[in-house]
Amino acid sequence: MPLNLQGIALDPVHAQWRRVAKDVATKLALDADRVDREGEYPTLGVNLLTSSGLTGLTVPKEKGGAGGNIKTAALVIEELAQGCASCATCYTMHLSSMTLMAALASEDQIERLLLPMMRCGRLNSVAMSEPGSGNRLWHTDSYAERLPSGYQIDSFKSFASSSGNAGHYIVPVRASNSVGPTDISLFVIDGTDPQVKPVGRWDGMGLRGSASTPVHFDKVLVPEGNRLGSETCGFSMLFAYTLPIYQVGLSAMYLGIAQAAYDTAVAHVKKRIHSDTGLSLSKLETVQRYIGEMRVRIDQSRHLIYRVAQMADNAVVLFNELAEADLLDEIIRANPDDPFFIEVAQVKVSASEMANDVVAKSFQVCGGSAYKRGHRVERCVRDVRASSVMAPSDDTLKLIIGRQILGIEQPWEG
Amino acid sequence: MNSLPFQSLYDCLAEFQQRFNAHTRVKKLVVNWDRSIVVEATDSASVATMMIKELHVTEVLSGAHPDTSNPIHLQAGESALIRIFSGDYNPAHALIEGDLAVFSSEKDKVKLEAITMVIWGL
Repeated sequence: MPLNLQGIALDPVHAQWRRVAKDVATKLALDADRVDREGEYPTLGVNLLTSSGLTGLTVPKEKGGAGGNIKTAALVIEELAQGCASCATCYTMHLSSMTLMAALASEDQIERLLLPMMRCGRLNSVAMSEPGSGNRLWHTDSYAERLPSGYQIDSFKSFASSSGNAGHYIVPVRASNSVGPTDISLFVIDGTDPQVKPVGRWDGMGLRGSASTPVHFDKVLVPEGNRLGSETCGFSMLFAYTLPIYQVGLSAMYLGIAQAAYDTAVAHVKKRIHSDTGLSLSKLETVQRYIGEMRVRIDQSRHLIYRVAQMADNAVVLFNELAEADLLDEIIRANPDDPFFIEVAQVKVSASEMANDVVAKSFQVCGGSAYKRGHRVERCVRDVRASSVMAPSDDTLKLIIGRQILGIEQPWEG
Repeated sequence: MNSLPFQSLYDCLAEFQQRFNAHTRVKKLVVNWDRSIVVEATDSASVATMMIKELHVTEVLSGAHPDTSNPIHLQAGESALIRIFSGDYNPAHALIEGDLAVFSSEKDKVKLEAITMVIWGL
C-alpha cells in the first residue's frame, strides 16, 4: 500500500462522520431483525440519528447543520445500511429533502422549518412518485390550486418512505392545472396535518421498516411561506439538489447491503467445516472464486460511488453559483442531457446490479443457512431486491443513459 | 493542413470578446467580477490577456498583464486554446482531459466553471 494517498484517502471530517455512523449502525443492527420481522418503523434508529447529529449532516454549518457533503452522506449511509437497510432508506430520503431545503430555504424558512427539522426527532420524506407516471419521476400530474391565503394540494403519491412518521413531506406538484408536467412547485407539508393521510400499512418484501406506503395529501392547505423557491422552479431544483444525493445515497445504501452480505458470507466460509472431509468451506475453489468476484464488484462500485459523490459535491458549488446569478433554472432546463446527470444515473444502476449480484453470491455461499428466515443474508436478499425497481428504476435509467449517448431527446423534453 | 478556425490565439480571443459581450446570460455571472485572465500557450510564445470590467471583456492585450490581487492564468497548447475559445472544445472537458490547466483562487475557478456552462453548454 503506497503511503502517498493524496486525493484518494478520506479527509478527517469524512472519517469522523463515518465513525459516528458505524457506532449508530452497530446499535441499529440490534433492532434490525425485529424491525424487519414486524414491519415496524425504526423509531429507535431515528432517535439515534437525531441524537448523533446525523439529521443535519448535509446542511451547511452557517445554516445550523453539520456541514457535510454528498460524499460524507455516502459514507454514512453505507454504514447505516449495514446495520439496518430500512432505517438507511428513510435516512436517504431525509437527506435528499434536507439538501434541497438547505439550498432553497429563505431566512424565514430556515428559522421556521429547517432548524426544527434537524432537532425534532423525526425524519423528512420526499413524496414524488404518482400512480399515473410511476417511476418516471419527472412527470407530475397533480397540481396546486391557488387560494388567497396560499395553496390547496390534492395529490396522491404512490410511495413515500417514513409515511405516517415523517416530520415533514417535500411534495412536488404542478404549479397549477394550466402548466406543463415539469412546471413544478415544491411544498413543505407538515406531517401532523390531519389532511395528510397515509394509505394502509407497508408490507413490502424487503425494507420492511421503511413505511413506504402511499400518501394522500387530501386537499391540504399550505401557506405560501411553505413553498420552496419560485413557483415553477421545482423541476430544475430537484435535478440540481435532490437527484444527486438521492441517487448517490441509494447507491451507498445498496453498497452497504452488499457489504453486509459479503461480510456474513466470508465469516460463514471461514467458520464452516464439513464433517465428511474435515475441510473448511474456504478450501473449495468455487467458494474462493465467489469471494473474489464479490470483492471485485464491491470495490468497483464503491469507487464509482465516491467518484460520482465527489462530482456531485463539485456540481453543488457550481449550481449555487448559478443560483446566485438567478440562472440555475434556465441553465438546467437548457441542459437536460448534461453528462453529469448521466453519471448520476449510472451510479445507481451500477450499484444496484452489483448489490444484487453480490447478495445472490453470498446466498449461494451460505447455502441452506441463508434460506432460513432471520438469517442476515436472507434479509439482504429481500432488501436488495428493491434496488432495481425503486424509482427511477434501473430500466428507466438505462433508457435515459442510452438516449443521451444516441442523441435522442429525453422523455421530459417533449 | 491547419484546420483551426483562427491563425493566432490573439485573433481567436478578439472574436471571443465579441461573443462574450453579446451574451446576455453571462453578464449575470460577472457582476462585480472585474478580472484579467492571462491565456498562455505552452507550446509557443503566444500569451494574451483578456480584461473583464463592468460586465464586458473590455480589451484583449498581447502578453501577460496579470492582476496580482486576483490572478487567473490559463495554460494549454495553442491549438487547444484556439479550439476552446472558438467554441469547439468545452473547457470543462479540456480540464478533465488534462489539456487545460487553470491557476486561480477556488472561488474564481467556480466562477469560470459557471461561465463555461453558460457559454459552452455541454
